[in-house]
Amino acid sequence: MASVPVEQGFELRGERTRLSTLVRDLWRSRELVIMLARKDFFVRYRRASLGIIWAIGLPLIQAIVYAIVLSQFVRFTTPISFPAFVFAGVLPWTFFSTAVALGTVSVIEGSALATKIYFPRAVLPLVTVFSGLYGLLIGTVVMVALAAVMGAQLGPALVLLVPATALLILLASGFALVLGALQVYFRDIKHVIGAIMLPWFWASGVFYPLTRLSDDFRRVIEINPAVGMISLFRASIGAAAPNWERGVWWSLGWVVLLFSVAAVLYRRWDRVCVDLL
Amino acid sequence: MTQLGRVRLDDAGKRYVKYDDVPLLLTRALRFRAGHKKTHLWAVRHVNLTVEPGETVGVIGRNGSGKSTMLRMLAGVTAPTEGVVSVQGRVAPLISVGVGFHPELTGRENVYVNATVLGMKRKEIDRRFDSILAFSEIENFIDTPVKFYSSGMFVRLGFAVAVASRPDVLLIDEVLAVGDVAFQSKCFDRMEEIRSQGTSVLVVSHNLNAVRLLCRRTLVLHSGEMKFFGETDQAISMYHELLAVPLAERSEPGISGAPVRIESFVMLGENGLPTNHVKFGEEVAFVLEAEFLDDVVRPAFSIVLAHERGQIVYSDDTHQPEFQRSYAAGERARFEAKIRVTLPTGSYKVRSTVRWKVGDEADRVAHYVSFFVSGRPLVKGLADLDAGFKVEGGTAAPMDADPPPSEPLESDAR
Repeated sequence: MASVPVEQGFELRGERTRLSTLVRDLWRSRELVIMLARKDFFVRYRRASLGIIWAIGLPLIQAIVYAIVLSQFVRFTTPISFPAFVFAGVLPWTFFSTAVALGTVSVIEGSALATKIYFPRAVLPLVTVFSGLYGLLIGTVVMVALAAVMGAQLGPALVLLVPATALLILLASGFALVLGALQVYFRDIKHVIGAIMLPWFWASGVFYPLTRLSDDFRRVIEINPAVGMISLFRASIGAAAPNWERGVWWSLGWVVLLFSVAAVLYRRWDRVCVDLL
Repeated sequence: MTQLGRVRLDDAGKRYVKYDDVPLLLTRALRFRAGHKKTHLWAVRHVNLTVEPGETVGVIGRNGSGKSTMLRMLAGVTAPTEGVVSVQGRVAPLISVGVGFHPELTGRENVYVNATVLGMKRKEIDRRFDSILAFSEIENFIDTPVKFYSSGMFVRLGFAVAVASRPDVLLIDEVLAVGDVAFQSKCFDRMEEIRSQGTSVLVVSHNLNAVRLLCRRTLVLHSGEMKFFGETDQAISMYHELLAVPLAERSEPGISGAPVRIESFVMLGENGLPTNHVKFGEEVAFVLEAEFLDDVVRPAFSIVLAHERGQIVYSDDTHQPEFQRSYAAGERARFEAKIRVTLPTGSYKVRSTVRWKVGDEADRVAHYVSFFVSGRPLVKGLADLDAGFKVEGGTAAPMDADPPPSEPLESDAR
């Protein structure tokens, strides 16, 4: 009984890979990405006592703490109640920063698997992005519920959650792919990223409205890809600043840039990164 | 379509770049002008190999000969620096079992992960799950986390999944050294089965007997070069020649202050020259030369001829009246044992010992040589007793083709 092979095999001539081959193989590996993402997710929460509750509990607690502490000495005027506003920023940021941090080291950590069998290396950073999706989806429901409970007017803008999630995934994937590749070559990238994370957080409007910034300052801040991404989430519950679309254009530009860089890197490197692991 | 399972290496070579320092972003940026200190190393070069579907090919060589690099290229894990590596069909490497196994997950969950990594789709795994379970004999434990598994269970499960993935090419390294004999013969049987369905198997191993049993053709690697590719017996003998270890490394640690020092121990072929490859029927001499540093009365010389796997074929001793001699300090001894080689094909080791007794203390020093015998075809076991065959009745029917292939009589020969 001859079984139909999943792949027809390979022919390697030299160390580079064609982009079309990369994309094709990656598409063929989609089941692997989902399987590994689920495995990652379950392993992460299997041992924790409260399990999956931690996935959204933590961002929720963070949001509440920020809201309480900050409102002690600053009065922010926000379109909706402050805690809900903050949570709409903390949720995507947590997903994003976790995906980037884990994605950076994903290839190195996956070396046990990667050195023994071939699969497109891009799978590893993508798995870290996708394993956070469960938490993100549940958290989004909580965010909407929280906003409603705290008196926000929800309407058709909720549809914006779709592009919001898509942009978030694209951005996180772009960064994870590029940084994951670079980390193999430059072993201190993860420290650089670790150091950047906190200032990045401050510059992303997670816990303050963009309207509080001077116009010039705000235009500079919007270059930060996280700003546009967070604005989309806020806009879905009616909490975004006027002209929030500007930030989104910048975010899209970043996505294009990141994926282009990733394509260049992975073409060179997909079949030989093992040599450095 | 029938080419699935075909493996081809065409002048394949792999060069590694080794950096002297750990690359860091900062130092790279600063040192950009200064250039990087790096060295190039060809792990493997100019390898030409073709494996047809259904064939089993062995790859042997010392540590550092490039075997693991070749394995990596065949798995598609690394790309060749020059030449072509072409594999048609799905590859399942058994390099270090349980690829992707996570200790916190149960056996069942790990099977799904492992199988997906090997390229199976979810439906396929569902369909074949029961046979994986049956082969690995883990029924009761399939739902416990694998961190509780013994190493034997690991191997069984890993192998079961790899074979269930119906690969077109199976890559095996030392991993089969783990697991008990019953399981190993189960593995051999299953490999026979998939082989007859067209899967090609590559065995990279130090276990020469396993290679001889499984592989018709074998590749010999040495320092990254392909030294030989052809009939397994010849490959093994080439391997032994390359493996010739300098004398100093072959002696067993002597006791300090021993009154005897072994100067040399060699095997001489029929032409009187040292060799380590002989044919059935040749007469060889094992010659030991020793120098006595002290007076020793009636030392005994012995030889032990053992199969590579350890079974002793023959041992004998000079502790008999006609061989007794005494030596004074400074005198030399020469011990010779002449043997007619009546052994089947295989690797053997001969150990020679000098034993003495001074007062109440007895002690010994020893030395060994290893060699390979090209025996008569079809003969297996510990000794070739060269039975005289007679077949009568019917009519003579001479054939010019190869003799019918014999079944591996592993169980009979044990």
